[in-house]
Amino acid sequence: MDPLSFFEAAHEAYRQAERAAGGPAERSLRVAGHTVHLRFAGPVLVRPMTRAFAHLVSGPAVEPGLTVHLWDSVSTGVPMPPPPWGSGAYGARGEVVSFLNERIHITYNVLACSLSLIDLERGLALYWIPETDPFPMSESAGPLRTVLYRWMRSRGLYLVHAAAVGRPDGGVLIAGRSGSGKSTVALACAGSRIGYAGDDHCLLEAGLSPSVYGVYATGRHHPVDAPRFPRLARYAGTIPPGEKALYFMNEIFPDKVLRSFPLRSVLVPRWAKGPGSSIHPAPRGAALRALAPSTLFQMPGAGTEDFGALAATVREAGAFYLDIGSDLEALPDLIAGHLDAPAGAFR
Amino acid sequence: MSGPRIFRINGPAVICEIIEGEAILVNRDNGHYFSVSGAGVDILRGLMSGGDPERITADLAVRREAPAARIESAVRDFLTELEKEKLIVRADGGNTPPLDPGQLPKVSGSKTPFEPPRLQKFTDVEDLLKLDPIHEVDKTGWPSPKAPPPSG
Repeated sequence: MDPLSFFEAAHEAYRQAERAAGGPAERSLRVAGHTVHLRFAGPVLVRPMTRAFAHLVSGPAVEPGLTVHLWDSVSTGVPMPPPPWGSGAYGARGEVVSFLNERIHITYNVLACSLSLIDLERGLALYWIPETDPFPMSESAGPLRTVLYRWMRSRGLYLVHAAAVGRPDGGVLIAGRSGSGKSTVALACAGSRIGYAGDDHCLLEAGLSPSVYGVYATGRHHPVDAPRFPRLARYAGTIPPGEKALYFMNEIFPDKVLRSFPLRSVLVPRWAKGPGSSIHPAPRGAALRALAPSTLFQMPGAGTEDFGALAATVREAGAFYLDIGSDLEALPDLIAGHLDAPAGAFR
Repeated sequence: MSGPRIFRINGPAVICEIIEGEAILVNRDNGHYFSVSGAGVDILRGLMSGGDPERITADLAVRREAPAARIESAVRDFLTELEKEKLIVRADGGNTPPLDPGQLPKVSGSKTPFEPPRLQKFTDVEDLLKLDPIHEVDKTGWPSPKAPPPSG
């Protein structure tokens, strides 16, 4: 069986699921100037798969750029056809290497047990998950990441592993591996005078005037870190054992969620001693080292093109170290002051 | 060094970008990334332009202030280090012509100081490629559910 044939078999399974569920539920999103249409076989997946980007919901588009069909097997009774490949076919990021070509990409998320397929030629994607109870928190926090990565990349936009905060007239990427402080900085800014565009992934448009587009208005932290974010305390809810607290900023601070901003600089977070935080110029190499590796290793198929786009972005934007002190409440003012600097100060 | 005398970047696994006098190499197969500085950047540029160590050494000797023997030794050792880290591989030199000194760049002005090549290795995100090994499938043919990794 070839990749397109399997895609068609999976698509037929979706159609069966839609009939079994009694008809579709639909949502349209406006993401970085593109319309993404979500068509659910039944109602079960709608909330968990749209809550993170509910702020991007728009009216239905006549011709969406990307259409995604989503279903689960428990509520619809329709399984995904068995894979025509063996367990050895998966790459390090879950991509089905042997079923990969220019048009069709298939990726299995082993933690969420979900399968994502995309036909780049038709702008059509499928998302399947066998069951939704419990629904993986990682999927709620960043739904359809693989699909959006693949499709947006074909449109010259790159899903990067970075937090993003700022103002409509300019903002920053906060780049670094997990544990480096980027989520801490973003969460410290949530609900403040600095707008929020994401704590883990956002879209980047490279070029002479790079731009950042917020996708997931979510934020997460370990339960033990709750006292560090007093503005979020009452929204944490019950946190399942072993999970992080998950916040939907589009529900908590809807006026503070940013859809996009021109990129002014890339901040590389470092933990500092003492209460005070500060921002200092950094070599652009340090910013690229903070931004590129985790992005490239997370996204299936990311390679030379992605690396080049990230490097081009860092060359155009400024690069700075953000030394994070224990007084997180001061971070929004510090970043606001950084953004108030003349544009030439960032080059 | 024995064997073909030409090297190339070990693509497609290894990809490279040079920015502000620093080269960053990413190995997509093992999750390691590297920072290269000093004359190492010149050496990498030379690899991307043909990969002939003799030409790379000669080019550096023309432009950098250091004894030729020191430069040659530094280039040789650095290429060995890059090869050990699987960042470069030996390539078929084909019909590479002998080095013609007349083709080397003419330097106007004085030479600049020779900074020894440096290679710094980072392994802090290699776990991103070790998170999801898929070995087992269930009766439906799909991978068996995995326990999430420890939160970190």
